[in-house]
Amino acid sequence: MLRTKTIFYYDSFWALLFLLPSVLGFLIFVLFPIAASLGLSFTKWDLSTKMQWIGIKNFHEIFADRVAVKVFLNTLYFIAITVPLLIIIPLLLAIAMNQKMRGIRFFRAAYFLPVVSSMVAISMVWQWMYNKEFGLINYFLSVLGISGPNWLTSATWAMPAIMITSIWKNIGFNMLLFLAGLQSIPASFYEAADLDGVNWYRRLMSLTIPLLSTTTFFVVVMTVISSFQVFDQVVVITGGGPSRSSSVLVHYIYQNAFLFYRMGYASALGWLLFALIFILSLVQSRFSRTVEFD
Amino acid sequence: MRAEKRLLIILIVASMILATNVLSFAAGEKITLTFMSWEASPLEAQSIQNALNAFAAKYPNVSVNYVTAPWSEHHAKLRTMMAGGTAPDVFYLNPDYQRDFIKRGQLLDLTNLFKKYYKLDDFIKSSQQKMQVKVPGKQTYGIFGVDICVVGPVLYYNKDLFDKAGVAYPPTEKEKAMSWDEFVRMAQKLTIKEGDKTVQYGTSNFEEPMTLYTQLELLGSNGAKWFNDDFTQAVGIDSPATRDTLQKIKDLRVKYGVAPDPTAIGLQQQHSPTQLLETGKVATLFLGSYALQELSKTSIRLGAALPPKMKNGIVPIGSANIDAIWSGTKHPEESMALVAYLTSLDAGIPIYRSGLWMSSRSSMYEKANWTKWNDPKVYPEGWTNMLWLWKDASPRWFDNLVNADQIYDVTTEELQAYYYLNKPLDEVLPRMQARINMLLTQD
Repeated sequence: MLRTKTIFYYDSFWALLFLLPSVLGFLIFVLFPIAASLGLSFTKWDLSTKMQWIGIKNFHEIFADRVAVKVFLNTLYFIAITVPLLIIIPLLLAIAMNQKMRGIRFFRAAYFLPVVSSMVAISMVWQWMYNKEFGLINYFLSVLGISGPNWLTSATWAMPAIMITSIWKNIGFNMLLFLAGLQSIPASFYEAADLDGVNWYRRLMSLTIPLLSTTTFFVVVMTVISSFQVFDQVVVITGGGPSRSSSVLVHYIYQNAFLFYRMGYASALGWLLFALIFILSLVQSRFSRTVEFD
Repeated sequence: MRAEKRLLIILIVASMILATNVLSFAAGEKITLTFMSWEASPLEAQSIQNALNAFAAKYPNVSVNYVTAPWSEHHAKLRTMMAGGTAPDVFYLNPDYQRDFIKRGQLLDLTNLFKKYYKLDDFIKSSQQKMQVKVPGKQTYGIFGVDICVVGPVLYYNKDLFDKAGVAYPPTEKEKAMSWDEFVRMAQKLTIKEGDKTVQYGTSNFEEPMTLYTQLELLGSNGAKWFNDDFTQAVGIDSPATRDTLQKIKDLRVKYGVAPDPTAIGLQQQHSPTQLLETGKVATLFLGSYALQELSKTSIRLGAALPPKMKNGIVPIGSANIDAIWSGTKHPEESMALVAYLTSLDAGIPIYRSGLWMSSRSSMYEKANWTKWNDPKVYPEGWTNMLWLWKDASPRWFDNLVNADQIYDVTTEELQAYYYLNKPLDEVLPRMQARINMLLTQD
């Protein structure tokens, strides 16, 4: 007698069943809000009254909005400085942490500690450290004979203050990624280099960096994306001031969405941000090179 | 027979439903209301909780779920909760946001309910003005929130630092109020430098954000008038009175060196200025009267005095949050009972005694009632000489505007350009006026 194959017989059914919670979560909490925000970007909506379809007016307004242009340029400035520093410094630290010596784990943990701390808490502490009169940073600078700037009320120094805090917080994460990359490089390459009498500089430039290209590409993409989304430290440390000199795109999106009753305009700004990140990621992907080895 | 039986069952069920729709208060049904305020300080949150506990004792069938949000995020959180249909029944609302919420139909019209619990004449002038708002689309005025208290700026000072410097205490009597120049000279005597570093400043907080009090009061006292009578247009932002006031404020820090960099008080932290006074970093502090609750608990010998007078003397402003009810509440009567309790003298007097609030009721300013709130352990000597600062105050200009958050954002941006980026007032003030006018007409 033949047994009838029910749906439970098929592995694909069970696979879908186990994937269902994740997929549902993705649909409800990711895909639907993304689609909704795209729709909202073509409307005028204040969170309470009826939505009004206005076509591409929001997108048109962005280019005429001097504040939007300013925060966009501030965001690019932030990325241009923090991304290179968040690659170079963690790479050098990872090389240093990749030593077999006693106590190295302590240092690895110490550098990683800011990563697991709350950005809001960190920002509140750094805000006081940046205080011109009573802050630690200007105190240490004075010991070196340097008169520290007005970090938080200077258009020149407010954004660097945000950058320093961001770099300090995220160094550990990128260092960990580079460390993992370094430890995946076969030791035989370095042994061969030693036999050939290669110096440390040649070893770094001709071996380590090329062999880390995949990791580096990943770090660059992730760092650029997260830099575009900088927000917490701007709100807590400077509030976007003085006079919008440290305000960034996500901060402006938040203000429009939740303070100014302009959800449609905020959504349009959000899609602009998405477009920028997407284009940049495509460009990076196009120009990245992977070193292949046996 | 079957049809009759069915009809009987329907009638019985309908009457049961009707019976349960009687005011649940009277029926003794257990209800839970949600009340939301901001947590500006642990002491303030405790004061509110005490009042809620007393309310629960008085109305045992109503429990109140108390939620707080940081002061700076309170209204943003309220808006999103309203959009999601989960807004609290009763909440604090700053009067500068009142018209924005009313325009969007988010506040319950309390005009009729108000008459059940209050008489408008019982309130001080500024409270009456603040509570009566034009109903959107009509020429009549309605009440959409009940004034809970009044706050206005005073000059706090550390008596020990004054004694050490041999400087006379600033006055509390109106006829003896200091002129601006006298105030600056006093601040200079109280500023101490060690080499290049200033270890004690004469004063602080004159550059407080426009969302609060100090700059607004000085502008009004100096004869500036930024808006027309119905607050639909910004007309006088670029005026000699505004320029003079802003220049005087900036000179305290830049020219005379008697005030610290304002980030010393923390940009978003409403109560950290008090720490400067507590730690002896400043000798005087121009700050809202709400700070008295915290300052009175410190170990310093605290004094309070009148701010310096300007061209028109001292023209006090006073304003504080109102208690409002969400238009989507399922329990309007019970919510109004909660509002009535929270704004009653029973609930208010312990909070007045703590120094956090000054009363919005005229009767509390009569001498016979001073002992009810004037705790000598809290209120510094001479405070009762200055009661006119609250009783005769006018509401802040910004309490009458729409698009308040955007206007504050523009004002902050432009004033920071003047104070910290040293942009000239010729550039800043006309641009600020133009931007604010655009926002006042924006839908």
